[in-house]
Amino acid sequence: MKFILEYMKKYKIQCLIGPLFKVFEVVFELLVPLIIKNIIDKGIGNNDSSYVKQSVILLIVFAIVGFSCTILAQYMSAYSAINICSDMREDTFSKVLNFRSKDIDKLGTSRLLTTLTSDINQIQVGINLALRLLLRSPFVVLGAVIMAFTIDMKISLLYVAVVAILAVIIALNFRRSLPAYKAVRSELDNVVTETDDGLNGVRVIRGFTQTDNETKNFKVHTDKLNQLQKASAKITTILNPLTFLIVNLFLCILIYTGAIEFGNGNLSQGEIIALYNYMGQILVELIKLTNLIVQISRALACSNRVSSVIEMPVSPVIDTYGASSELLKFNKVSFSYNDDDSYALKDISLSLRKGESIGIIGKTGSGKSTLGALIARSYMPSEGEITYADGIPPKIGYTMQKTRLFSGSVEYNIKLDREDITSEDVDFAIDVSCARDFVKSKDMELTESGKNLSGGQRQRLNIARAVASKPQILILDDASASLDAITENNLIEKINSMTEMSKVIISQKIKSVKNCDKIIVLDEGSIVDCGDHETLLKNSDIYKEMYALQTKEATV
Amino acid sequence: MRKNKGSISALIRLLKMSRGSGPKLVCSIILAAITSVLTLLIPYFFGKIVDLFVGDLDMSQVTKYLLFIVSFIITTAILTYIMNTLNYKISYDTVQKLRDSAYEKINRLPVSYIEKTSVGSIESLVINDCETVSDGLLMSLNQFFTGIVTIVVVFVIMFIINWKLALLIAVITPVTLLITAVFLSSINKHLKAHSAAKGRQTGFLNEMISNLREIDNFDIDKSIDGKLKNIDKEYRKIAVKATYLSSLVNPSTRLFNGSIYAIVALLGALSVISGGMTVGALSSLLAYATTYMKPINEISGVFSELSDSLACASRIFEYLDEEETESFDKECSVEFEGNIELKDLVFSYDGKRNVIDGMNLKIPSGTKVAIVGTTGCGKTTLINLLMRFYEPKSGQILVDGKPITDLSKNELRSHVGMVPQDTWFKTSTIKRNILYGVHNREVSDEEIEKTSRLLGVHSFVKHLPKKYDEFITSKREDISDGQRQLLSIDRAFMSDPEILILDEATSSVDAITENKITSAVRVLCEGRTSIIIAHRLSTIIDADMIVVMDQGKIIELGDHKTLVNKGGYYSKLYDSFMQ
Repeated sequence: MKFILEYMKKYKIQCLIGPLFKVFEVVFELLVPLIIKNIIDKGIGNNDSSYVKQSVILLIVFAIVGFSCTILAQYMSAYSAINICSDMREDTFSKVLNFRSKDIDKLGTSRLLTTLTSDINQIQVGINLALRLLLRSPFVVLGAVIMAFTIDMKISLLYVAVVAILAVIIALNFRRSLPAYKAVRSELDNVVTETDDGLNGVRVIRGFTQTDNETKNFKVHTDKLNQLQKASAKITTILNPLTFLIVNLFLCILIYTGAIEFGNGNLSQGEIIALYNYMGQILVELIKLTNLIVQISRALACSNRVSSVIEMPVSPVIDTYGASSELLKFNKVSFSYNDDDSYALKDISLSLRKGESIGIIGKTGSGKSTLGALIARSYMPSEGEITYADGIPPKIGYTMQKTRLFSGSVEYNIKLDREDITSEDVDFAIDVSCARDFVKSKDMELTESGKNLSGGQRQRLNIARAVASKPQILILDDASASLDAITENNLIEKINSMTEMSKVIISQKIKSVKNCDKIIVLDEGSIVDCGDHETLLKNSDIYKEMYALQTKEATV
Repeated sequence: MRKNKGSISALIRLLKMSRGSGPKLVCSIILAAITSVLTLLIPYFFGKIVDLFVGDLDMSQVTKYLLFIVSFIITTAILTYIMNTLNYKISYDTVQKLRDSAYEKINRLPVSYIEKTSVGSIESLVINDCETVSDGLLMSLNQFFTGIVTIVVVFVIMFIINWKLALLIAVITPVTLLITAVFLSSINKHLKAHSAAKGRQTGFLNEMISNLREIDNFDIDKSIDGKLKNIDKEYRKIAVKATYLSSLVNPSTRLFNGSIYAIVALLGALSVISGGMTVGALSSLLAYATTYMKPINEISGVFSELSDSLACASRIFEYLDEEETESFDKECSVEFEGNIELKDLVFSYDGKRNVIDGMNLKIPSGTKVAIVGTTGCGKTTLINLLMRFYEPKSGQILVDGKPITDLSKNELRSHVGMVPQDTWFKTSTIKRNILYGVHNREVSDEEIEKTSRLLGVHSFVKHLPKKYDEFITSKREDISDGQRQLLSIDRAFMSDPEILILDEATSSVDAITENKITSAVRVLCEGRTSIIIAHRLSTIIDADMIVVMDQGKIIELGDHKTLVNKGGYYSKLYDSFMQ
């Protein structure tokens, strides 16, 4: 609630004018029964047809003025609702872009997507309705009660009673419906995840003939969603008939007491009609209000989901760095994915000079990629310190193991909106990454995630976009895993020819790293050996073993 | 006209589809009719009571009418409750049915369709479009009927009260309808522009959210952020216009309503003065003048909602009508040995360039065959054909002498264990994923651990807090790509296949681990036909047969020694590898 109000601030004027003009509209509407009363009591009562005509003209004028107020109010509320939610969407998106990898892991991408699209849409519907009706309905109700008081004090107490009873019912209902709707939304997240899995895992699902089971499994989730939706609807469905019942029963009581009052000579025929009409207006508005409550409770549940994203603390980013004589220096750096004592990296110290190359090698799961991600500042160290020359982090080109390309042209995928990259840089990048043989034109279009390319082709474009910016440090994480040996050799040669660039080469293959100035051998998150190829062949058991295994074929 | 036809057939199909809800829908419509009649009778009786408010009031008459009204009210409230309950049940059951069939369709569509279409658009169909249809279509159908009933009943009652005034209103009404219709068709253009703008926005967000790490790495979040703002700038304008215009429908008819109300008040009051009718009749007439406009408002609203949801329904049905290549035949276990033969196999993705260009190959059962070649030479495509993810342009693949098209796809695949190039796991526990391909057989935890130990999976799973019950997702960063590949191999072996396909199965696994599991893989492959694609030639040196491919053709064939001695492409590749 507070969260939405915060966003309304920017559109204060529109958010005030909208409901205000709705209130004007209500005033004109509320005067109608009074005029009708006068037509009956004064016009008909005195057989005064000119009074009737005057009053009717007044009715038409009121209708037109009311309409003018409405169209202004509708515009204001549409304008505010859409702009508030667009602001909210943009802020959420900016926030998501600011998230560290760790935060994204925590929330999950399908959750983020539902929040950015359907959650915010629900809020938009809610705000638009609320601005139009939330003030209007209570005002009509209040106005009708006040008008009733001007007619007959005693009978009007009935109005107060009915409004009080319904307020309690609506409030109680609201409290129950909110958590029920929240449960619905979070199960919907699961259905989204299942759909996502079904689409992305199509080959594996079919390959293991699991289509039948997956279809059944999907149904388990939709069944659960269905039940939750019904449970949530059950709570709100009672509201509408209950309101109808209560208001109408009171109407009967009103007529009955009215009849007694009339018998005592305290009430005119016109007055009883006016009272009846006011009760009618209350009924219509309350029914609208109950529907509105359903919408608002949805919008609020969704706004909680949005605010939990916006207000989620971004895992701390270190942005002031100590100065060191080296381009980059790790001092006893440790890292844990879950902020607990299961360290993925432990006590890593290393340094990288300008133009130097470091190879990182080690067994599967030894922390190689994690170290690459830390050098690239994708993750922040849990302990220890990273320092840079002059305290300024160097420009980095980072190629991750898993390649994800954007839909768009080859040029876009390499340039990626980075303004400092020229067309020559793009050409240079295509050449360095050995991508020239399949990139016939820079305008070649890629489909979503580059699905129209083979695995090896995607990898080369991935390298191209990392080198295009001529980074100070180039990090290649297993960047040639899907390349055949000939292409790979070409690539290594070309990368090595960029001597001014510092390189971090992460690989399983001795061949990829053996020319590095320094090779780090990782095991279970720690540096076990460090040195150049020759030194490691003498001193490092793991390195020796890997080398032996990778060259043994020569002697087969 | 054709569009209308499409909409109508979509409507009919939807009704057929929600057949289970049919009786409910009929009940709901009947209830809607009853409740609207009852609701409308209430002002009529109140009018009767008001007429008693002259001179000496007959309290017994008042009580009589009030009792009528009370019984109406109670009945209406109960029936409304039942009707609303039916409605939400219909709505939720229908959305589920639509979603279930949309999901089932995913599993029946050709792989090519899914890989060509963006994941986001199918997802949006399953999630959003299905909801729009169930919310919009059935509910508006209901409102439409109630609306009609209300209008008819109101006119009948008004005719009974004062036929002249009723006639006047009846003449004015079509004018209102006409105005609404014209207005609606004029805003339709804006509504369409709105949904197109929204589609663009969702598509953009979808792609960016899946590429968040790249955006972070290349430090382009500012420009991506700016892009959304640009898209939004346009979206805001279009959305405000569309929302505003559609929110004018109600006030406009209300203005009209107000004028009619005034006319009724004028003519009615004058008629009362001249003794044409009673005050009570006037009061009821005025009450009806307000109510009768409401359904007209609603019906006009219903039309826009209806066209919206019919558009969604047509889209869903179009998708559901896409050609299917998969079926859910139950596999019947026939004897299966695993002799594979390719005969003049030709395949092309785009119909122009042949990715597989006339391949002939015999793989005897129980042998280990390796396929090597430059990236993009058609290795993975071959697997796609063997698994029947795609169908060849010409030529055929035989298994044990029978064309694979004679087997059901499930039958064929149930004999094959595949480790695909791109690892994928279901968002679920590690255990469930390891057992993913296991059919009709109980697997003990010990057995899982035994194989997992052999394949190097256990050594990292044992460090996870919940071990095999830990959730694995495609985004989970603390399980490395190499570890995922080991899991993927584990999964393939647990399915106990006759034919095993390893497509770059260990490309991210280090040499030591690889060496360790290679011997395990060798033992596990015993008695199975295995097809291995690898760039790392160390894994295939002991293969019985090495197939060297280039541009969709076999250029060399033989075991390692023969090929090295031959001094052709393979020996060049091998030299490069050993450098």
